[in-house]
Amino acid sequence: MKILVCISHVPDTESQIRISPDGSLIDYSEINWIINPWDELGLTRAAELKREHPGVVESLTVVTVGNGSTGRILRKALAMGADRAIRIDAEPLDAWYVARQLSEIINRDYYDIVLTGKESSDFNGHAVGGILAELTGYACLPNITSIDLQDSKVIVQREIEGGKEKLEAEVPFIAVIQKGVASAPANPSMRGIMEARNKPVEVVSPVDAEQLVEYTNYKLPASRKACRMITEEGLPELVQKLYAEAGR
Amino acid sequence: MRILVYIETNDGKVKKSGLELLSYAKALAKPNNGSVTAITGPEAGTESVACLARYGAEKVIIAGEDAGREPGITGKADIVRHAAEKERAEIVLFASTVTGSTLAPFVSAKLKAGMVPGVYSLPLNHDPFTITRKVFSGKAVATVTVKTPVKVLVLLPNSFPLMEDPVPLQTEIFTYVSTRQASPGIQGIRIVDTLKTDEQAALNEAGIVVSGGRGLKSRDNWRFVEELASLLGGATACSRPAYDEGWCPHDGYVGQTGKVISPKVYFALGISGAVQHLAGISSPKLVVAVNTDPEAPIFRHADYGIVGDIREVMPRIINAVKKFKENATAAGA
Repeated sequence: MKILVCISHVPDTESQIRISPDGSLIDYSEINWIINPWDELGLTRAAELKREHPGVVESLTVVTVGNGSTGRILRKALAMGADRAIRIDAEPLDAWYVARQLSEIINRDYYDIVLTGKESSDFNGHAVGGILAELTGYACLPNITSIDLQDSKVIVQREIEGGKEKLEAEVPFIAVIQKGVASAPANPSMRGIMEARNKPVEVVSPVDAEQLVEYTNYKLPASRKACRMITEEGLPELVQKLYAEAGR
Repeated sequence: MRILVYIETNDGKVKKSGLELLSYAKALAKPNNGSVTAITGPEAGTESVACLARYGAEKVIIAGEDAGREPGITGKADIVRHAAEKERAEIVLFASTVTGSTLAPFVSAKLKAGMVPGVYSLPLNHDPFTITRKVFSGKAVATVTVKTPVKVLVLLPNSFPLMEDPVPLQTEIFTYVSTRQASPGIQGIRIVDTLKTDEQAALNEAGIVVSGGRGLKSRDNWRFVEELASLLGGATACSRPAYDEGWCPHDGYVGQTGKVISPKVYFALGISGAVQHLAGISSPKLVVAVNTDPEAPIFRHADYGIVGDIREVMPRIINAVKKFKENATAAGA
């Protein structure tokens, strides 16, 4: 069984977002890049599955769409247990563009299980996994909160509206990862870090693909008015205000 | 401008987020000489269909029996795709619920339509089509241009006011048998078990959310969260530390990798206000924070702040709400 985990790099959650003076670009110069949290959980679980089922999971590959600045997260992914990494050398223009690039790799190599994060913490697009399933014709399992292997079957749990659902799935499929699939992202071991140095990173040229949406301008959100500190006397006003805001 | 709105139901009733979608669609359609069509499943009862017309759906499509029975989501998306093409929709609207945000990318891919998630306001411009949304988990606001003739928009719950706009009802029963070949893996997917926990859906759409964190100090104090939420008719939630301590009965917490909610009013009780937590709350109009530490970061993101211990402050807040309700009832009577 071959597993592919699609990862993207995003600014560390603690990072301050800075915008160029004309508002047209995000200033990434001082950003600390991390693996997108959902992708990292998916990768953590995939590496666990490989360790737990050495005869079943033959290989674990990670792929990203991005320029050379993604090198750091690819090394980390290899240290976390991926066998090899693929970097599609292009700016990730939008979800459609990224999904088109990823679909080429899936069609070229064939993978039994493809994992994508539910969203990325930068553009919070929620879209790549679904579009990728459409482009590849793979079955798609959205909102996956756990994944286990049992013989040739895969048992997954997913979040549905107002509840959970347990599914049995045959490969191939794309699972869109929701929080819960691993309890916490794994920290690479020293041995993992050493081994990662000798693992292959393949750089692939992008295919021509369209961009359907474009981010043209950025600004910082309007700052909130300073917090009003109140005591017991202020409570009636507060209650009135909250009923007004909630529209009741 | 022709707009197709995807309506979700709960126990046969139209969800509030669906009515918000219709209100949004009407506001979008009216100045542009547009029309609004709603698509829903056969589980929507007569009353629900009438409700859609009351909120301005000029046409209601009730999609065929097997819509949504397939565990893979592509079948459902294909029905919406077909309806969008048949109606020549230029805009397809979804609510940012579990179902809506899952379905939207599939429909967008099938229509090759640019998709904008996290929508909370009307477009700035129609040609080119531009609209704003939050990015970096709320740390910046971006203007997005959609370049395709058809657009898919996903609207955050509680971001648009409800507006009734009754129109005569026109219904179309619509059975669509997909000609699309099922994906190779789809027959191999079998539902083993389904577990319903309704609180989750309630949290997603709740206008008021009362949330507890580490500052609750014990499981026993969770009762304050419950009591205030039930008084206000809101939902309860928690932050990661409270979740890890097992103080709240929820399956999950609010935060960047947890649940993302968009209430109008958010009570942060004993929550310090770490960025990871704040990333889980999308643009609340009013934030009330209670914390023992006057320097807690949550106060920089709150509109009203109360410094004090949960056990002392909460009975007072609860009391104030009770009094307000009594007065409102008295005034109404």
